[in-house]
Amino acid sequence: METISFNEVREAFAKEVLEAKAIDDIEKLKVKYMGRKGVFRRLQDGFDFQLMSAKEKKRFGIEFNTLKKHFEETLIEVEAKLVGDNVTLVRKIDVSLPGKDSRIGAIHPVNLVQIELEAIFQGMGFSAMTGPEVVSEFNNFDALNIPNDHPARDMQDTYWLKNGMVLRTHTSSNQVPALKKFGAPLRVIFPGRCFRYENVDASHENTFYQLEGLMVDRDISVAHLIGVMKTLLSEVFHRDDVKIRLRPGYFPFVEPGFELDIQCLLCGGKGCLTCRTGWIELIPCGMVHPMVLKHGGVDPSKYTGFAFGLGLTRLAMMKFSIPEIRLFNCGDIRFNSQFIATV
Amino acid sequence: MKISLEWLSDFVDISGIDQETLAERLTMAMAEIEGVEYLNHFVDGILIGEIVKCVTISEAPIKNLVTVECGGKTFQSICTAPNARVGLKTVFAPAGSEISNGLVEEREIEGYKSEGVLCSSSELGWNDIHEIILECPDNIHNGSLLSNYVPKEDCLLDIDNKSLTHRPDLWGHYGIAREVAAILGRELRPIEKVDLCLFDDLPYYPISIDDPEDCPAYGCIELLAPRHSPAPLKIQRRLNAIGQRSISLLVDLTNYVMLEVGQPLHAFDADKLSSNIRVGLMDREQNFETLDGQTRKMLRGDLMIWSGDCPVAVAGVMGGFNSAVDTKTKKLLLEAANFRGALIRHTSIRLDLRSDASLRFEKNLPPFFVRESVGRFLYLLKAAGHFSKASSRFSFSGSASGETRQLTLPPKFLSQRAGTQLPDEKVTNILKRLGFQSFFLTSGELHVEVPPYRSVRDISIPEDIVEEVLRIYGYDNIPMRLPEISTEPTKENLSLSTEHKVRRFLSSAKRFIEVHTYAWFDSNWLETIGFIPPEGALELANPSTQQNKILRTTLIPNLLALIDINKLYQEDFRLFEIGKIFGEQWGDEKAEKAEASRLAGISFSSQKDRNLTEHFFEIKGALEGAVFICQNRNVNIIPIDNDNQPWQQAGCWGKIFINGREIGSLGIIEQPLLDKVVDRGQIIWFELYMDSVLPKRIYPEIEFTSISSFPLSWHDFSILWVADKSYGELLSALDDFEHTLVKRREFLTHYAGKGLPSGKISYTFRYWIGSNERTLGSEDIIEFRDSLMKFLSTKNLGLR
Repeated sequence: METISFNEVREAFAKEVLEAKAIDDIEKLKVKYMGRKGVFRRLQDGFDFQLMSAKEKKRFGIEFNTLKKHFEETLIEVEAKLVGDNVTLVRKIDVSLPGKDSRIGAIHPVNLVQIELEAIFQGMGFSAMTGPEVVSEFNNFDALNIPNDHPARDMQDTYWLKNGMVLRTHTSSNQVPALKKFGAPLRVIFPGRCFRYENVDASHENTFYQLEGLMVDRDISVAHLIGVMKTLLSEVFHRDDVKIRLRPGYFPFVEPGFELDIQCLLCGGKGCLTCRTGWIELIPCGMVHPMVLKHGGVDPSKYTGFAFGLGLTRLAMMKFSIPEIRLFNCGDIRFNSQFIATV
Repeated sequence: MKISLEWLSDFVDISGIDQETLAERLTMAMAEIEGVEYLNHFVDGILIGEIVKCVTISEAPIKNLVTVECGGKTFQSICTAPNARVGLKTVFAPAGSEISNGLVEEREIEGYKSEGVLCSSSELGWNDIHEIILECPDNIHNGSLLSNYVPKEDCLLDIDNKSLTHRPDLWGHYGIAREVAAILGRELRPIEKVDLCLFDDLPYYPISIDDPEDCPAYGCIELLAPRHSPAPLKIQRRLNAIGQRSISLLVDLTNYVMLEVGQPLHAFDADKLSSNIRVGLMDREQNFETLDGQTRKMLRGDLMIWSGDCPVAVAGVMGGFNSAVDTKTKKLLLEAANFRGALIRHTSIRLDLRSDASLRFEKNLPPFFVRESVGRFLYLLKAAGHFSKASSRFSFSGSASGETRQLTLPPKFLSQRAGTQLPDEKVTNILKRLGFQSFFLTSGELHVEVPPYRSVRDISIPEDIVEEVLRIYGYDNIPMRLPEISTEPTKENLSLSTEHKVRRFLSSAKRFIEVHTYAWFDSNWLETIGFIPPEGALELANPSTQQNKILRTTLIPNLLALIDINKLYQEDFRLFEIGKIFGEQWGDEKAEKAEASRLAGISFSSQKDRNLTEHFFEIKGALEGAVFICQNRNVNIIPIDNDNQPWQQAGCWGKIFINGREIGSLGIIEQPLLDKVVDRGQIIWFELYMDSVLPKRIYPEIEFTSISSFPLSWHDFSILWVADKSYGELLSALDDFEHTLVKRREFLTHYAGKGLPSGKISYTFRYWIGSNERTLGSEDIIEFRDSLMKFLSTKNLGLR
């Protein structure tokens, strides 16, 4: 059996390392010395351990390992020099390759906004309720003081079912059932899907989402409505300097009724392409009409309240700069997949 | 609705405030002003003149050589307007003056000298009607300056009609003027009228009203028709400015009064009536020719004006041809009435005849306007130089409602609702400006008198007074306050929180994309996939299209429809939807809650090397995860060997159970359905009853089990099971094995193929055994193996 001495190996190696001029040369040396059929393997195989004493074995082991370590370190050092500045390690893996299964899906933009708003309202002490989408004519209209001959009840404005029920035209249909169920005082929001008979185009949809809010307590006033709305909008837009204004608006289930405008956050109220006037009409709201409280079994001489209706779909359009409302129900993944599930 | 500020100035001084500011203040205190439009008219140097000579110099197109006399001076011009004629008073722009086409110059046209232009309303900058020249009333002197009659500029406010639906008093210039006066704190000038009592000695014109609900008030007066003449220039200009065409004195005045008072008027040819009026519903289907010459089909229930047995007008919508005024009309019956808004709306929408008049009637006008408008009409007629002799008194039927109404507000009511202290004096002052008389009683109550021009629907409860006071006081002047609220925690909504939990899990952990689809099916698609909606499905009475009339009873078909539109963009995607399905079976007595909440998902792949089984179990895993996070630990899925819905094909689907309760289903779509849905690829679907997976709020939600400090050991067993039975069934068989040392049983793999007895499949399980008290010895292990073997033999189960 061919035996090689440590010294021979060391000398040969020192010479070859000096001659190495490229990374490839280093790779070759690695194979030659460290490989499965390399010099070290042969060195190891060349000794008959059975003939060695324990002491000899130990000495061999130390020498062998020292030499191997020296080789490894030398190779790394030389390689680092060849590779260039500051590289001290041999790259074992290209960590910049993509990770596995890191793709995440998406939540519908309306639900993203809904989840965020529910959290804000919860912080303000509002419970969340979802009512049915198929509702009685009473809850959608009569209970809300909407006259029998109001145009909203017409076939061209509301989807009627053959059994006489309606697809709710607003989440306000929850107001009276909630008052009946929980009584006053009450702080509640109703997020949900609504339907109106519309021809669908870029800015009209027959299916959309609202988030209704209702607060009923003793001595609730217009000043409270302004306070709650301002706080809410500061949270929604993450701004302390949100400016709002109320102006007259008419909805049969509130009195007085308001349109709440928010000062345009893009131009700061100077007037721009988005807002034209510096203000954006955002939330229809008002003081709950005494007839609505009565329908809900709440005494209007003891309690007052306010209600407001946020357009969730509209808010999502604002928040994500979505130009077309019909995208929301199209199920096109080029749209839906943009709203990464980050909540 | 457009409001001319020049017209408005008849009733309120708006000087010293720029138009934009005025618009802003009206928006903040009255109704939304959508736009401000500035008008510039040409008046300087332009004269009124009379055509004294008109010679046709060419026939087609018509060209006349016209001589105009303007106060002693005559001018010559070439005019192409068909209404140029001798005796016509019109508007003449002499050379040197300016009109909309530019500076007027003396020119020669086909050898004739032209010293100026005879003007159409377009050339004066009123509108774009240029075919005919203006016609002026006879009583203007030749040579008068146009600037004596019309302004050089005007400004229009465009008010959002929708924001006025509850304010029928604001559908005319005078109503707006009243608001402007109140908002600016300026004086409102009275609107001048003829006192209708002057005619009280004349005979009553018979009126009968079938149902006062349909027609709360009807007034009319019979008059000698005014001579056919153009309306005064000021009136023509104003009508033109807000988009109306000027037609004749009579038509223009009725329109003018409507735009000023808000009350539409109608004139009948009195000689074509049977000397009486009745207001009543159509009792059968009948054709009726309206004054535009069109034949309309009238239905039972349409409100009509009748004379004798003959319908003479569609109430509030349009007059009849049979009673229309023409150039030969000698006697008029002028009508001012008040109809039930909804009736007018229905008829006008059906006939596609929505006019300025019907728009106003729809709002349920205050009956107070009836008398006002007739008095105003007669005043304007007289002011135009036409004294019309009446042949009847002002006849009236219904409720006149010229009275004020009383309201009493409890003490401190206004300040409480506002949330800020409102001084008494300020309150009564604001109300006075709006025309409400009010005073505080010593008890602190506020007594308010509501003027008759404010409709009952608009003002009837104390809260309505809150709005009146606060909008003028200014909502911006109310300091904001946060309610002092109790610290009572909000109630958890378990179905919402669960829904969100599932949607977060599927999207962020399992890369599903959430979509929304419509609440109805597409019947064409259902036909393609062969799905027939179950009995009890809800149907829309008025669907947008007939194919969208059935409300969805499952979410799967709408999701399947999305595969085709998305397959081009991604060869591999997962979609889910959480939404309502509908059907009678979920309804209570009142049929409310005829719906249930569903979660459905589909996974599509058209990748060539995709392993279908692997794909299926990935989705099944995602679904199980979604159920687990709702704190349901015992999910199992039982294979079903029957066809059910088209996507539930024998051997390819199963029902999902938690603790024996069915909560949904899942499966693979196979042929023949697969081909109908997509040309190439795999589809896995699932649908879950959201209401059935809601977690229960139990205590403790999670119970800790103690961790043994002694090591566990594991032992693998490959058990042979009948191939035509499911893994689930094997599991439930193995569940019967109870042994104190078994900590856990784990499924490793299954194998079917070579080396097994025919008809058998091998399932390998790993049993982890151990004790909390001691390290197990070999005797424990032997004992465990023996008892498992014994158990297996009782079940006729062998090892591989």
